[in-house]
Amino acid sequence: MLHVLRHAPQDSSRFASTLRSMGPEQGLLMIEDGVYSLLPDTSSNSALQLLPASVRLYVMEADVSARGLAIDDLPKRVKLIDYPTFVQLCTQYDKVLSW
Amino acid sequence: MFESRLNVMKFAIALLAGPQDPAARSALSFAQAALDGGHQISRLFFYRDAVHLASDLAVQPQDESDIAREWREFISSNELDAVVCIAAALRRGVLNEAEASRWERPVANSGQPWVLSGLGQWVDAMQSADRAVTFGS
Repeated sequence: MLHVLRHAPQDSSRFASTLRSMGPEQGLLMIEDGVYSLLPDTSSNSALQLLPASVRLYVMEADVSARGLAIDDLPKRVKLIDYPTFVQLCTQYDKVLSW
Repeated sequence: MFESRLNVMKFAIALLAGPQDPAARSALSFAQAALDGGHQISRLFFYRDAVHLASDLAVQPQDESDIAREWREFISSNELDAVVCIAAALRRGVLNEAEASRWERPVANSGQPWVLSGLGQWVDAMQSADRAVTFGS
């Protein structure tokens, strides 16, 4: 399962719901305002880094740049992706769930 | 889990957010990437505020991008099935000729390549597609 989160953690309870529902071997892709989950020194950033190692984290590079987050500040386990890779991820995970 | 061979899939894509929401562009970028990647799009479904994309009357400032026009051109040039939720469209004043006439409205503001139809079309699309992806939730 690939979870796609587009909301900022402070705007709704979706961030918490997403983390709660994630299982091992699943993926989380942050797009649009969802990239704010990765702001340095925030509780959401820490929570993401505490996810089990089998959970893959992805973030849409265009949305990171558009919102002025520094790519160098992103946690090492987060992979920057583009739209062709987003499509590819959808084929690799059996389901796509948008939060 | 990660296969290297090209696995051609049928995508059903839904957009729920309106033209002013970043999701309208995310969904378009995703749809373009899906076709560029050799996949098929069995249906696009526009729901809630996304039905505003199907209006021919919205005018954008000349120095701003026109996401509705970009969607229209993408759908037309790829001959895609673009279904607009009819209930969501009627309540937001997005009407084609048939609906304008049925509801006795003075003007229609939607037409090709958009098709006004029911939510059942999304259910159908989800059942026949390999992957259903929703934007603007």
